[in-house]
Amino acid sequence: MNVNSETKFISTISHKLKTPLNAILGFSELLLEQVYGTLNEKQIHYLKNIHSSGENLLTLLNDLMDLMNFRWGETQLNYSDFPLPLAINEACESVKNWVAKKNISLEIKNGEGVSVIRADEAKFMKILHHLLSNAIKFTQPGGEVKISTQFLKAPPDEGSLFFPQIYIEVTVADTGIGIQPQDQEKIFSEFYQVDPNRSQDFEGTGLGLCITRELVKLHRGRIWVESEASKGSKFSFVIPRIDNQG
Amino acid sequence: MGFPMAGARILLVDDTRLNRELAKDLLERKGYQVLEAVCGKEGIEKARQNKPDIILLDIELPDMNGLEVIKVIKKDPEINSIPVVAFTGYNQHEEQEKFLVAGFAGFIPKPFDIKKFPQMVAKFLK
Repeated sequence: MNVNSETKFISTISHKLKTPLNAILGFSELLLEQVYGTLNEKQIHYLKNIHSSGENLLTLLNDLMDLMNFRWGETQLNYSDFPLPLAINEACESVKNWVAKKNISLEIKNGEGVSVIRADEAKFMKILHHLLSNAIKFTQPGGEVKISTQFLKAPPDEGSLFFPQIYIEVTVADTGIGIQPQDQEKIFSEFYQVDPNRSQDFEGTGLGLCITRELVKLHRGRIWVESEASKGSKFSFVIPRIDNQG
Repeated sequence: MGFPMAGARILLVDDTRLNRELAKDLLERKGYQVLEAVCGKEGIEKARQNKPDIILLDIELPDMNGLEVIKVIKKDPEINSIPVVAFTGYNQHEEQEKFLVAGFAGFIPKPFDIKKFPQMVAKFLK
C-alpha cells in the first residue's frame, strides 16, 4: 500500500468506527438525561461506564488520525494572529467543570506584556488542552494546577542561532504524582504509560504527549518536563512568537 | 426557548438507522419535524417533494457520496436555496474546507454532543 492509499484507508476506517460510536455515546447520554424514566444508581453508574468508554475510544481514534497525519507529513499549519491570554482563558474554560469536580485549583498567570502571538490556533489550543488535561488527570483532589506564560528573548538552554527573536513560553505545573527521572523522556513516545498497573486508574490513550510534542515541533519549538516523583510536574514549551519563515 | 422555527422540517439523509433514530429523537423533542432518507437518491427525491427547511446530509452514503448529492441539489433551482449541512465523522480541517467549497452551509461533526445538537441544527435555520 502506498502512502496515499494507506492514508485513505485509515481515514475511512476511522470514519466507519465513529458511526457506531455516535450511537453508543448518544443513546447512553440520552438515557442518562432520564427523560424516558428514572434510573437507579447502579443503572446510572453502568451507563456512565458505557459513555466514558465510548469517549475514550473517540479520543483514541482522533489521536490516531493526528499521529497518522504527522507521520505522513500531511499536517499543515494554518497560521493566524490571536491573543495568547485569551487562548489560555479559553483552554482553562474548557476544563472548568473537570477541575471543579476534582476540587483542584486552576491558576492562570500571564507574564508582563504577553499579547498577540502567531500560530495555528486550533493546534495551539490542542497543545494547551493536552497539557492541562494531563496535569488535572495526575493531580489528586485538593491539588493545584498552574498555567503561566511569558515572552522570552531567546530559547532557554539554546545558543541564539538566529538574530534575537521573541519566543513564547508556556508552562503547566501541577502538584500531582510526578514522573521518575528515568521516565521523563519516554513519556513523549507513542503509547508509553509510566506504570502499566496504574494506567487503569488514569485512563488515556498514551498518545497525548506524543501528539503534543509533534504539534510543538511543527511550530518549530520544543517541549520538556521537569518533575519530582510525588511532588508534581512542570511541562514547558517554547515556540517562536512570529513565524519568520513565510 | 431559544429554538427558532418550531415545526420547521428537517430532512435527515443518513444510511445508519441508529444515527437517524437518535437525531430524530433529539430534534422532535425540540418541536421539529423530521423526514428521513437512507441514501442519496431518496434524499434528493424527498428534498424535491417536501422542500424541507434544512437538509442534514451524511457524506458516506451507499449509492452516492454527499458531495455528489449536494452537486445535484445545487443545480436544481427548486431546492438549491435550502441550507445543506454536512453531517459526518470526517472532521479533519482539510475535509471541512472541501465541504464549504462544495456549497455546504456548514458542518456538524459526528459523534455529536446530544445537548448541543439541537442548537447546532437551529443555527442553520433562518
